Amino acid sequence: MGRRQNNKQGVPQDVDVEKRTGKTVTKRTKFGGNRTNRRRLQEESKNEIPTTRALSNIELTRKRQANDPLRANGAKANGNAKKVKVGSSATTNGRTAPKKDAKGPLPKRGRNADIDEEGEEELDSEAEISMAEDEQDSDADSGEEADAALLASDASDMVSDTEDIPQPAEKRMLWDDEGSDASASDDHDDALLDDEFDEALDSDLGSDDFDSGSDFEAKSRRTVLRQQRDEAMAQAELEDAQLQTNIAGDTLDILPDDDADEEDQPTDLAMVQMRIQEITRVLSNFKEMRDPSRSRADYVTRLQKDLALYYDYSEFMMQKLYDLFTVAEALEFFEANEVPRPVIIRTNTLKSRRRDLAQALINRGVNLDPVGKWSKVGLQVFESPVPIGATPEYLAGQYMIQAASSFLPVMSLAPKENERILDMCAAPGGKTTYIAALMKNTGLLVANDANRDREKALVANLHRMGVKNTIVCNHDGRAFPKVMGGFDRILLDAPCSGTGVISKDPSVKMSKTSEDFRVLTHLQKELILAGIDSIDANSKTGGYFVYSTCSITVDENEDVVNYALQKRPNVKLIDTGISFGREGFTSYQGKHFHPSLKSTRRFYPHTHNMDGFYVAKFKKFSNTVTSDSKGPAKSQIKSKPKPKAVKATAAASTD
Amino acid sequence: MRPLTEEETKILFFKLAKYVGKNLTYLVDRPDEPHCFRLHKERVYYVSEAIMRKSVNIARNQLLSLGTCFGKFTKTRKFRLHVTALDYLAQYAKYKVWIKPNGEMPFLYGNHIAKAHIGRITEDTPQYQGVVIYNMADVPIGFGMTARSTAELRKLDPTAVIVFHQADVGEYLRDENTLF
Amino acid sequence: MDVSSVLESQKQASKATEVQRVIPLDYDLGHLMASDINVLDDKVLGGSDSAALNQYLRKVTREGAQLLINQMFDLPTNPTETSVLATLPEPKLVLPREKHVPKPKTKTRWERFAEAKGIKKQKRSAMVFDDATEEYKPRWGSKSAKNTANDWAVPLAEKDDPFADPRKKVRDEKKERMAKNQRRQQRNQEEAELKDRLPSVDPRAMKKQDLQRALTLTKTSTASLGKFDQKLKDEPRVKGIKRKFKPTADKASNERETSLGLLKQVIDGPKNTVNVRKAVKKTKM
Repeated sequence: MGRRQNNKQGVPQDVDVEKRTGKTVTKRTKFGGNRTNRRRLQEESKNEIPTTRALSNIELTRKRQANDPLRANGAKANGNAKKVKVGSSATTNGRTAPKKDAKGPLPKRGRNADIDEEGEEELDSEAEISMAEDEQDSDADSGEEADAALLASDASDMVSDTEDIPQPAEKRMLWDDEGSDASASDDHDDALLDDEFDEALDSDLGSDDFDSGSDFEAKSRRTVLRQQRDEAMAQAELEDAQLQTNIAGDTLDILPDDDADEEDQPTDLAMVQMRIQEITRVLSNFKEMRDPSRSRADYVTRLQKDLALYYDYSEFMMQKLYDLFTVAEALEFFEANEVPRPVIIRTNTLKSRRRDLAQALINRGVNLDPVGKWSKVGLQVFESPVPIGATPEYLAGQYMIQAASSFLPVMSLAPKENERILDMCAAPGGKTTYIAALMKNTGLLVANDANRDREKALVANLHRMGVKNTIVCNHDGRAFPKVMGGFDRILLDAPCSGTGVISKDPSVKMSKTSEDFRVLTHLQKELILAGIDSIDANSKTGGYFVYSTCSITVDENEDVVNYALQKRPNVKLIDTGISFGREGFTSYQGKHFHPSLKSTRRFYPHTHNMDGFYVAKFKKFSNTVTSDSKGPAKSQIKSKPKPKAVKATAAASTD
Repeated sequence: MRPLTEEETKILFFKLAKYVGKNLTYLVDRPDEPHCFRLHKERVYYVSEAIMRKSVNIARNQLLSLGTCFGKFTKTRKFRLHVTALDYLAQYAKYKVWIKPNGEMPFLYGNHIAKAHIGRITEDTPQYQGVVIYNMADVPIGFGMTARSTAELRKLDPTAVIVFHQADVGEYLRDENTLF
Repeated sequence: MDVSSVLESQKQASKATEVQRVIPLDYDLGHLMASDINVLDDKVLGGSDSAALNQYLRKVTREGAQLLINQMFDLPTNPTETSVLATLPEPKLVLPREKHVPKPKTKTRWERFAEAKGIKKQKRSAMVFDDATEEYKPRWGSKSAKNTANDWAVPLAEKDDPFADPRKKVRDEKKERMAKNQRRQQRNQEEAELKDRLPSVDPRAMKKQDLQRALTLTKTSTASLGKFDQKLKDEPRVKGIKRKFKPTADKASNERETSLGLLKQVIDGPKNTVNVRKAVKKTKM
C-alpha cells in the first residue's frame, strides 16, 4: 500500500524510450537554474492547492493533460522507471521515496556516474540523456491503480455517489474496460475504496503537472500565470461554495422556473459555468440533491443547453457528443477540446534514428521528450525556438509532424516488408510515410486520395521522407477493387466529421448538421466495403483491413463497422494490437452491434491526451462473400481478460 | 507513363553524370532489384521494375507519382533536376561540399554559397562540377554547381560565390505547388 | 307553205360540223390544244354497257376535235400553190424546262480580283492608229503595230547584249507569256472543278496542305524514317508522324541493355570520328 500511496502523491508520469537494445531508458535534460524555480513553485502549489479544493476539476485536468500525452499510459509507465528529478522532488516533499527512486541516478550526479551505474548506453554530453535500465518489469496493477486514484481525485466530488444512480445498460458499455488496459477512467470504485487517501492526494495534485513537464524557464513562467489564474478562480469558487453551504443543500434555484423566461435573460458566462457545476453536482447525487418537483430530464436538458452556450456548440452537436459520455466525463471532454494537443513528431526511420534526431533537435534548442512507451518513433515537442516545420532536419525528411492519434491506425495495421499495401485516403501522407517506413521501402504501397489538391502535399511528403515504393493515384476510394486489388493490408482512414479533432478545428462545433452525418456515413460505408473487397484473403502475411476515423461519434464508427460485418460475412474483427484505448460500444442508444466490436478501440482527448480517434481491425478469411459457418460471431478474439464486473457497475453512471 | 526515348535518356544521363559521373551505372544496372526510368507528364520517375509494372493498372489521368521523381523535361526538352532526386545523388555523388551551420539557412532559402560558409569540400573539385551539398551533420540538403575549382579557392575573398545554388530541400516548402 | 325553216333546222341537225357545248372550250391554238371542262354523262360512264360507253367516248372526242378544227378556220390564212396554210398564234401555255438552269460559271482568279477591286471591262476598238505607218492597224495579233517580230531592224538598248539574237529574245518572251497564261488557265480550270465538287473547300489552302504532307512524307521516306537526316537550324518538329515508343512494360533486360549502351556513349563522350580505313590508306601513300 505504501508504494501505491506514493504513486498517488503526485508522482508524475515520465516518458520512456524503448531503445533498440530493448532497454527502457529515461531521458532527462538538465537545467539547474530552473529546478530551484520549479521547486519554489511546487511549494507554492502545495500551499495553495488544498485551499482550492473546490476549484473546478476541469482546470486540473487541463493542466495535467497539457503536459503529458497519453496520460493513462504514462501513469502505467510509472511503475517502470522514474524520472530523476521526479524522484528528488518526491523526496523534498517529505514522502517516502519509492524503492526505484532510490536506485535511480540523482540529479546532481555526473554523467559518468550515470554510466557507471546503468552501464548500458552511450550517453551524449550535450543532451544530457541519461538512461536508467529498466529493472522491474511493468507492474501494471500498481500503475493502474495509481492512475485510477489520480482520476478518482478528479471526480471524487462528483461521482462519490454514482452507485445510487440508476444506470441504463447501454451506457455501461462505455466503461467496460479490460483489466490490462490502463484506462484512466476505469477505477472509480477503487477511488471510493481508497477514499482516505484523497485528502493527501488532493494536496499534491497541483505539483503533479510541474514534475512531468519540462524544466524550462518559459514553461515555469507559464505555469505561474496559470497558477495565478487558477488561484483567482479558486477564490471565486470558494466563495461560491460558501454561498452554497449557506443555502444548505437547497438546490431548488438551479433550474429556472420557466424556460421561456430563460431565453430572454442575458447570458452571463460565469453564471452559466456556475450552473453547469451545480447541475453536475446534483446529477452526481441525484437522489439527495434533486428538486423533487423536477425530473432528471429537466436537469439534463438544462445542462446541455448551458454546455452548448458555454463551449459554443450547436445544440445538435452537443446532443451528439454529450450522449457518448457520463456527465463528469462529458465536462472533461468539452474542456479538453478547448486545449490544444501536444505537438508530436515522428522520426522517419528511413533516414534517421530517434536518438540522433532528438540530439540534432536539442542542438537547435528544441525541448522534447519521447512520446511514451507505446511508440518507438514519436517525440513530443514542448518548446522550440525555431519553427519545428522548417528546420533543416524536417526539410531533409528526418521527421514528420504528426498527431499522436495518427500513429495508431498504422501501428494497428502493422505493415510487413514486401507486402502490397493500400492507403485509401492517404493525403497529406503522415500515415502513408509511416507505413512506408515500417515496410522499409520494400514491396508496394499504393497511396490514394480523392482530392487532387491535397495529394500535392502527399507527393511532397513522400519524396521528402525518402519513400520510394509508392504509387500515388487519384481515384475515388470506391473505385478500388476495380483499379487494383489483391492487397495484403489496407488502411482506410475515412473522411469524417472530425469530432475528435475539435481542438484543431473548432468549426466542427457549429457547422456540422445531421445531413452532413448522413452523407459522411454513407460514404464511409461504401468505402469500407470497397476496401474489404480489395483485400486478398489468401495473402500469406496479411489479409488485414484497418478502419479508422478522427471522429468519436458512434454513427461514423461502430455503426459503419457493424454494417461492414453484416454485408461482408467473410471478415471478422480482431484485436487492434494497441494496448490502450477504450473498447468500442457494443450497444448504443438502443442499437445493438456485434459483440466483437469490443475489440475495436476508441481514444478520447480527455483520457489519452490525443485527438479523439477510432480504430477497428478486420481480418479477411475468405475471398468469397457468401456467408459460411465461420461467421464473425465465431471469430471474436478473446486475447484479453474479461473486464471486472465491479468496474462496470461503478464506472457506469447515467447521462 | 512511357519509357524514355533514346534522345531523352541521353539528355537525362548527361545531366545526372554531372553529379555522379560513372557511378550512374549503379543506378541503371542495380544488383538488388531492376530499376527503370519512366516518363509521366513530362516528369521522369526512377522506379523499381515491379512497382512500374503494377502502376500500369492506373489510368494516366489518375496516376500522380510513382517511385522517385528525378526531375522534369522543360518545354525546350532540356532536363531539370528536382531536389527530389537528392537521395540518389547524395548516395553516388563524386564531389561534395559541406557547409557550416551559419550557411545552412541562407542556402535553404535559395542563395548561392559563399566561401565563408564552406566547411569542407572534396579535394580537386573542378570548376562547373555538379556537387551535392551537406550540412556539417552529414545530412544532404541540396545540390549545386561549383563556380570555382578548389585550386582557385584559396585566393578568393570570403564573400565570393563558390557554389551556384541549383536545388535545396527548402523547395519542399517553397515550391510545393510547382514541384509536383 | 314555207318549209325552208324546217329544212334549215333539219339541215342544221344533220350538219356534223355543228357542235353544242354548255361551257365554251378553252383554246390554245399555238399548241393546237383545246381543253373541255364540261361534265360528262355519269350514267353512261358508270353503266355496264361497254359498247354504249365506247360509242359515247368516241362521240365526245370527235366533237372536241371538231370544235378545235372549227377554230382553226377562223385563223388568218395564206394560200400557196398546193394548199392554204393557217398561221398559228403564239402559244399561251408555258411548258416546263427540259434541262437544269445552267450554273454561273466559276470566276477565274482575275475576274474575282477585278470584281473585288471594282475594275470594269472597257470597250476598246479593235483597230488603233499606228503613228509610224500612219494607218489603222489591229490592236493585237500578228499584224498589230506592237508585233515587232517581222521588223527589218531591231533597236538595241545600252544594256543589251550586242551578240544575242534580239529576235530570239522576243520569241522566247512570247512563248513564256503564252505558257504562263496556259498555266493560269489550267489552274483556273482545276480550281473551278474543285469548287464544283466541294464548295466548302478553299482550293488554295488544300493545295498548301497537300504540299506539306508531301514534304513530310519525303522527309520520313528513308530507311530510318528520317532519323539521321540533317536537320535545318530551328526546323520545326514534323507533325503528323505518329511517335512510336517502346512498350511501357518491356522485358527488363532489354531496357537495361539499351540504357547501358547510351550510358557508355554519355560517359565516354562523343564517338571517335576518325575514319580508320581512310587514315590507313593515307599513310600507305
